[in-house]
Amino acid sequence: MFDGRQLTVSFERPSLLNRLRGRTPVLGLRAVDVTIHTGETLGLVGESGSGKSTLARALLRINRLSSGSLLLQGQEITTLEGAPLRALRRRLQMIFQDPFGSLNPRMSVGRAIAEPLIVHDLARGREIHARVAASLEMVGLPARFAARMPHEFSGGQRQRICIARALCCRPEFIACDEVLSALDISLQGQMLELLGQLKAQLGLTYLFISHDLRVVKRISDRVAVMYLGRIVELAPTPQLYARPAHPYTAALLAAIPTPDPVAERARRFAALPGELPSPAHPPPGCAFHERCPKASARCRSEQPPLAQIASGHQVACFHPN
Amino acid sequence: MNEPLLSVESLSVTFATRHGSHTAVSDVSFALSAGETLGVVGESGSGKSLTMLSLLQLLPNGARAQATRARLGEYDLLDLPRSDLDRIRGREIAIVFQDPLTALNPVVSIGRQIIEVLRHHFKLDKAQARIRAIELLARVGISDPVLRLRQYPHEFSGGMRQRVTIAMALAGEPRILIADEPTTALDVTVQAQIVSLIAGLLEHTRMGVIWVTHDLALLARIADRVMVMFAGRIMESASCEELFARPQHPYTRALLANLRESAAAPGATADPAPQGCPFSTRCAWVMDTCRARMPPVGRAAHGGQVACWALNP
Repeated sequence: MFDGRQLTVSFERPSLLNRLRGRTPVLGLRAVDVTIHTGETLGLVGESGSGKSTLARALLRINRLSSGSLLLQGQEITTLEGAPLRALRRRLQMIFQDPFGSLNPRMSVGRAIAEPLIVHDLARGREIHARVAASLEMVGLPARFAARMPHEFSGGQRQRICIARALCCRPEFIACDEVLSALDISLQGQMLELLGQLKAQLGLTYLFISHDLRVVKRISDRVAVMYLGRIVELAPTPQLYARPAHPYTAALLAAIPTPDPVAERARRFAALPGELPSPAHPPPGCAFHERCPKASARCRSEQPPLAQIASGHQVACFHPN
Repeated sequence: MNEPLLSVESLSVTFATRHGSHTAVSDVSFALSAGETLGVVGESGSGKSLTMLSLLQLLPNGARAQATRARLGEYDLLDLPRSDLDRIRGREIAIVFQDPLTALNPVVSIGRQIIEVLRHHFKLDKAQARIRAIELLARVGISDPVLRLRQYPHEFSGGMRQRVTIAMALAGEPRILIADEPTTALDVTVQAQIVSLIAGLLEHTRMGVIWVTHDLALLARIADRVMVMFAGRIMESASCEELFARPQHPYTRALLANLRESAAAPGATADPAPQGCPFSTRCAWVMDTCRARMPPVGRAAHGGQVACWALNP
């Protein structure tokens, strides 16, 4: 579906003044190569500031790419502008973390869901109502909710409304950005199930972003791990969780507490030291070397490329496990 | 076991609203002994934080706490004169909050904020307090504490800020530490660091700890006992080992099933029943009795306690 090559997003224009001051632009995304296959769910994990949302927004052409090329089903979309770009937006949707912030409190649920239909002129008059009702039913909410206001709903119901809005213009691709993070744990299972059903029913492709590796494991076909604007490992889900090759992936997995007091207390584990470096001052070489137990002289000076180590398993590390 | 440090019986918190009073916490009882870590797990709105805030009289405006008993040593926590309250806060019970950025004053250096706490609680001159502050920063794993003392909160990363608030909580040498979701705002690898730090600090003290979280799995490593709350009530409590090995309440089972990925979470959501068990709208075992009356907290098969009509008819 997507084929991104050397995608780079910079958050500061390289103006003359900044160049004279010796400032380099802050890079949110550093030359990322990524492919998303039609019909798959690609999980995207990493800590805050690692570039997960920036990658999603770059794929949807919300963030401007400073360099790189992006193909959507073989068609170049890197520099699309105007009407073709708006037509593209219908096909690519995004759902956000905060179901309170992403619904206009003064707009009825039905009106919010109808908005993309009106903007893209996909339906008029009665047909709008029918499509809104159909979208609500698809996410397990009664059609009569269309007349109500967002404040009448709980967080879980609001997130369903946001999904209904994304579905309403029949997209091919949905980027789910931390969509479960604001929900209570006992509701997360239901929401995962709903997303799975919708995908099968409508033939969707997902990019599923989360900092919670337990959730990503349950929904993704493949998982990409990001660190400071780069993908450091990408593998089919079972392989990534069973045999993480990058020391950072291994540390992330080790940091997840298991619901078993006996095993948990017997487990000897050294917490990874330090925190994600600032993207304004990235360390030389591999961005992870300052925290890495396996770092060598080469890691301190040279950036390891994302290389294939097994079928479908890529890792950017000079000393993979 | 000897006399508990803290004992709370039948605590309730009610909010006065325009539409009458709303009960956010009801009939919560628990005890904490010296050196013990009590884990309190619940979702947002389960009343876990309100329960803890009520012990320090930190409830928001319009909220009122009542209890048949809320004792810490010789103090009655819900009926304290102002002078005793100042002594309790920080010296007897200290609290670490979720968001370290709002817990720290952005325009005062880290050093001054810690020294202020130290000089409030102990008779120390500035130089002595400064030395003590440096020791505290070193104890929570902050490197170069002499330099860091002069810096401001914005110069610290999220994990380092949380270390500072932990140092401030320890400054009063409290008998009880309440950790209210201290790792929730942090990244996974930093969360692991902070959990290890607090676990390490506890090895050398007799401090009682109440760790409030929405992540049941986190408690497996650190808690001695676990109390499960839902909609302002205790659903189940037991020793940590027993709770994870033999969860009784259907809500606890659902939480664990979700963590172990063995089953989907409970059914459709709805507003909690006005009377009756608040979990009845999601429960797989629901009976008519559950919708009519709240089950009392009774003895459970694992030696702990559980509030469920299906288990304690």
